[in-house]
Amino acid sequence: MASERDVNILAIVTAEIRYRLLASIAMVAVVMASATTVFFFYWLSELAAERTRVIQRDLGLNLRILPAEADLESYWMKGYADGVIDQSLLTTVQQQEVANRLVPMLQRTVPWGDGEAILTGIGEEIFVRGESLKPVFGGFGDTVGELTLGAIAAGKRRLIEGDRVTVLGQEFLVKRVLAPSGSIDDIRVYGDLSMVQSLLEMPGKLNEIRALECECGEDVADPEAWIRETLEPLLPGTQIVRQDRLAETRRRQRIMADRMTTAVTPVLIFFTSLSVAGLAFINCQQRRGEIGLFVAVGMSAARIGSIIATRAALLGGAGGVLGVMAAWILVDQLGEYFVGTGAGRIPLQGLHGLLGGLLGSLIAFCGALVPAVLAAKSDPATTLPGD
Amino acid sequence: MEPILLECEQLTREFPTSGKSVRVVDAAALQVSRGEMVVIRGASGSGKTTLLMMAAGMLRPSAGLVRVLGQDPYQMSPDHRSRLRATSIGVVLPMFHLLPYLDAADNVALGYVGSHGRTEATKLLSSMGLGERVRQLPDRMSAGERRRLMVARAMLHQPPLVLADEPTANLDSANVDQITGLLREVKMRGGGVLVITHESPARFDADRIYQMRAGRLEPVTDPDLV
Repeated sequence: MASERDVNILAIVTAEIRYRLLASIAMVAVVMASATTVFFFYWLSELAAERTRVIQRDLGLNLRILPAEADLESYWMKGYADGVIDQSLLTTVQQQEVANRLVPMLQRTVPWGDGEAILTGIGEEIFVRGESLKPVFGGFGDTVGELTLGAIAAGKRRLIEGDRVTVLGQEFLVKRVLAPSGSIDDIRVYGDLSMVQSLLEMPGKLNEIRALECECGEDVADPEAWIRETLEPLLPGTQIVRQDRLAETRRRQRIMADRMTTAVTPVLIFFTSLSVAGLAFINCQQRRGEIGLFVAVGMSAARIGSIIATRAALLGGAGGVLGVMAAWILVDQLGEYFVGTGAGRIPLQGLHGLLGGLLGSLIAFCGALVPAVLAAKSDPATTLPGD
Repeated sequence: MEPILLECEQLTREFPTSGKSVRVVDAAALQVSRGEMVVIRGASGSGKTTLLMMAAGMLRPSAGLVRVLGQDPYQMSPDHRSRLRATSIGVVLPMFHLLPYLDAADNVALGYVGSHGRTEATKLLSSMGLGERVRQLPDRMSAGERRRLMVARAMLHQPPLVLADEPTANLDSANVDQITGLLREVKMRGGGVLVITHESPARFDADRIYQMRAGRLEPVTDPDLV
């Protein structure tokens, strides 16, 4: 006795997939290639945007909040500002959310051996958006009793990592010597902010807050005016200096990167859909006679549509999920090659697989729908093979 | 109940061929009533299959009128026309139009409306002597067996009107008797049958016979002249 199962749509579709295994694999492969392309470029754009942000961060800072009495001519000559501001202003700046990253600093010229050095205390960076990023002055990790030396400051005194030095009467361990930067930073001596405040007998005082990554969006026509308008009333006793050209260039570059991502992804989806549609069209033309037979035996349009949709969901979905996995592996392996060292990793999530499956199903369904509808609307006598 | 199951008036079909049109069926008139077996004979290419396709709602005529159970299928949407075939017309197609990846029972139950289509198909195939073949794929079956699958598919939903194009082609005498017997059963239970065949009309117990010549359908009054 034969099985009592009824002829359901899934049985028809799976039987066809088994029967046309090679064609089905080809369909999965094309959808997979499309999904891989879309997700690969999308994720690569994400990594590139992240990398761009990191590069921008390393280029310099946007805002410098200085004491009101600081003479800017002296500031640019000496590399730091005279006067002090209260450390509590840091919280005020943080609350205004004009910049993502805030770096509190205290700097003074101190005698050191036969000469002088700029003692620079750097506090823990504050991230307004909440996520912790690689610090601007990353890798120092100085604790009390340790210093990081600029290249010239160390070279002139023949100091290397692990040496012990005395500054303002206290002994410190040279934790690290920086590579030459070609800037005034080469003559700095870096240390933990609280330690430097204590050493200079200036507790709770800063002479500069550096604010990085302006939070002004694309809709802000004049970022500088917006920042001044926001901050100046709240920061008595300070002045704000902005490195306009650099900051504006970075802002524009970031917007351009965002636009690139926005523009490239739909174009990729369009062209990959076109390739899948081409394959599906050829496939459907070959299956035209079959659809004619469905119509001839009285199958409803809904049932025929369900067969096509189920096939698309199975093959397209599988292709989409595989495409996401392939794209993730490619980005994981090649990401650094394309966007540079430190590109980071994209976390693979179940949601990505779901999106890939949906995208693949949609691509396959769209590709199959039009020729199927045309075949279903035709007289079956004209679509049945041999007639 | 509608006494006339199928009615064709001035049914014409032309096909465009290299800039001009060829009239394949020319103003054919035909009726099939309940309890009636109508046979059409004719040479290959005379337009028989085209006529049957138009009658089945599967090929829109260039001119003329078709009524199935009083309804013009070409006034319906394609989907409604399809449903009409699924419920009221059994069509035996002229070629082996079977899905190669479905077994015999699934092929027979393909357009069945309602549940248990496969069970019903299995029963019908068993009654036709194909009980052992229900799980076979069509390409593993003989031409005669495949022909019987085509007939079984047309009969499964017990339609009042059966349109059969060469239902006994490639069959041996015993199987011809079986198929003609099935068609006669349709007639006996009050249905109507239109058959295109090269067999003797006597084997179908035909009530009326038509001859198709170059697209024109002519009634045959003396079967001996066929």
